[in-house]
Amino acid sequence: MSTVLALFWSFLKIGCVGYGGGPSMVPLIKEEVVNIQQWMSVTDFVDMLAIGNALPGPIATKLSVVIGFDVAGPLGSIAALAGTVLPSVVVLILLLRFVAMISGNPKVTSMLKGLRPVVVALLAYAAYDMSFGSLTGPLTWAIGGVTLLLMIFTKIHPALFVVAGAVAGALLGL
Amino acid sequence: MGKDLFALFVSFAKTGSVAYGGGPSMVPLLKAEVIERRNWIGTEDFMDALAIGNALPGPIITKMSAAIGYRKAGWPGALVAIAGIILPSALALLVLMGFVSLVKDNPLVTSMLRGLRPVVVAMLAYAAWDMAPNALKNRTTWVICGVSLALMVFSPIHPALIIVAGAVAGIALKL
Repeated sequence: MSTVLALFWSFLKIGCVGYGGGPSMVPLIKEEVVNIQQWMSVTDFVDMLAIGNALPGPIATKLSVVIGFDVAGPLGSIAALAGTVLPSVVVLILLLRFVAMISGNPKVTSMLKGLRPVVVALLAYAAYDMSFGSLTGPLTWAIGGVTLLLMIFTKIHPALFVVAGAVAGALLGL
Repeated sequence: MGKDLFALFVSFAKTGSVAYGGGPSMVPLLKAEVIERRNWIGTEDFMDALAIGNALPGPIITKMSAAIGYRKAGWPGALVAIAGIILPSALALLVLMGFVSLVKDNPLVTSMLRGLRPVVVAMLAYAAWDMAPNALKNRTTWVICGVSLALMVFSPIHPALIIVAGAVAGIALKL
C-alpha cells in the first residue's frame, strides 16, 4: 500500500510542476522514477518511452499507467494516473469561470515566459542524461544523429523513426 | 445522460487512438472532433479553455478533455472523457510492454531495443530544438535556459524546483 501512495505522491508532484504538456513532462517522470525513487533502470525507462512513442495517444498518461503497473500492479496504475491528471484537471474546471481574470493577465504571461526556457533546458538535459546508456558506439551515435537531422529537416511520421531504429538495430546486430 | 456519456467516450477514444506525438499534437484533432463534428463547445470557449489550460501544469490533452466532458455532462462527463482519451493507448502500451518483457532475452529483440534507444535521445533533443524558438527570444531567456541546464547537469537540485524558479524569475523580471 505504501508503494501505491508513493506512486501517487511522485506523479502528483510531476503533475503539479510539469509545464508544456505531456512530452515536456517526460524528463520529470524520468528524474522521479529512475533517479529519485529508483523504481526502474534508465534503459528500461528508455525502452518504455521508445515503445510508447510508437503508439498513438498522450504520452505522459501512457507512461504513468505502465510505470504504475510495473511498480505496483493495477492499483499502482490508477494511483500514478490520478496523480498525473487530477490536480490540473480539477483546477482547470474550477478556473473556467474566471476566464477573463487569467487569459491575458500580464503576470501569467510573464510566468510562462520564464518557464519556457526551463522546459527547453529540461528536454535538453533529458537527451543528455539518456545518451549515456543509449549512444554507446559509432553506430548508435549515427542512428541518433541521422534521426535528429531527419526530424528537423523532413516531415516523416515520428512512429516511423521508432520502427526504423528497431529494424536498424536488428540488421546491424547491435 | 447515458447516451451522452457513451458519445463522449467514443469521441475521445477515437481521438486518443489516432494522434501521434503526445498530447499537444492532438489538440487540433480534438478541436475538429468536438467543435466541427459534435458541436459540443464553441470555438471561443475551446480557445479560452486552451489558454487557461496552457497556463496550468500537467498534460494538456487530458485537461482539455476533462473541461469539454465537464461542459457536456458534469463531473461524470469529465471522467468519461479522460478515460476515453487515455485508455486505448495506455492499455495498448501495457500489453506491448508485457510482450517485450517476455521476449527481452531474445538476441534479436535486444538488438532492436539497442537500435531504438538512440531514436529516443534524438526525439528528446528534437523536442528541445522545436520549442527553442518560442522559448528563447532574448538574452534573459537564454540565460535562464543556460543556468537551468547547468544546474540540472552539475547539481542534485530537483528539476521541479528549477521550474518553480523559472516561473518566479519570469514574474520578477516582468518577462
